[in-house]
Amino acid sequence: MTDFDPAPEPDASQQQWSEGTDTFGRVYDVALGITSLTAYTDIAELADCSPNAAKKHLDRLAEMGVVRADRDSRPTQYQRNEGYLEWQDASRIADELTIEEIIDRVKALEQQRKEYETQFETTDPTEVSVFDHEDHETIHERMTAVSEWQGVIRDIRLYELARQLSQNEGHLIPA
Amino acid sequence: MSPPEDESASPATGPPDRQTLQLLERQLASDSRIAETEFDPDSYEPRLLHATLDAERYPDSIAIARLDIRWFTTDDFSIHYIENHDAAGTDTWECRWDRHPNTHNARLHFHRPPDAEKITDLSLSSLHPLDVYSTVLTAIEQRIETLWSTQ
Repeated sequence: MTDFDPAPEPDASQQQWSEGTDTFGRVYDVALGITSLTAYTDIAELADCSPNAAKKHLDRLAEMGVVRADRDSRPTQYQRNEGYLEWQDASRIADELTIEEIIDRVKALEQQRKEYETQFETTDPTEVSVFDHEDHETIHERMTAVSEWQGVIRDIRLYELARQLSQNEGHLIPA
Repeated sequence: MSPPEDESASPATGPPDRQTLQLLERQLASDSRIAETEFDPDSYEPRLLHATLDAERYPDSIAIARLDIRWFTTDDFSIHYIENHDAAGTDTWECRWDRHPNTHNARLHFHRPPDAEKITDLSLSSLHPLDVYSTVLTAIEQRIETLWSTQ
């Protein structure tokens, strides 16, 4: 059993991820995974639809705020709108958690942040060298730790936004 | 630090990619091959995504099989597939699809089964999370077929 193939061509006859999804749903899902400006023709290929259909749905998603469009490029390029998606995450947290729960989570995360700062002897995760190790498992452990540390810092900011939304009854600014 | 020659940009992996983890969780949750999904530590702070594969699809000799998925904002990832061949979890068969900077392999590489120790470079036609997802699930399908045929 050594002939395991890590990169087989997905079986076209078997739907891999788009099962039960319409074209709009596929374009939406693909767009959520697009982190740098990408031509709509390429997005159409990923979403398995015609370029025209992809463009139509992407323009609609751009109106909704889910994606950002660069209309100066030919063909037009799109990428997910990080700011909108962060607001959406914060909005869900504000909706589902109480202010007390949010404050408790921030406290716990502040504690984790302190532990990482002690472990790596700096307050800046980007200062930590992670990848110049020979041993792959060491790289992996440090990579995971530094990534989670950066995640902790991000999540603290996200909870701050959620608290603001919660205090202003869903508005970013007081009514 | 000296990142590998093929990728001079973004030497680090960045924080967990919340959006991609949420996207993959939705896909896995609606995939008939997956029994259960769970975020670690939880859905408000997604860092690691666990997916348990449907045990019905495996021969009885496999107690449990799961995927552990990390995805980073720099389009790096680590997708770990683990089969437990006994209930104690000491007899495992595992492999890992990885993309991250390191000094000895391509940024995109594969930790070969059965112990995920031997590392080979890997090439994929697309790094979009949904394409990587399709590739990994197809590879697992083939693994399950091999398991049945060697019963």
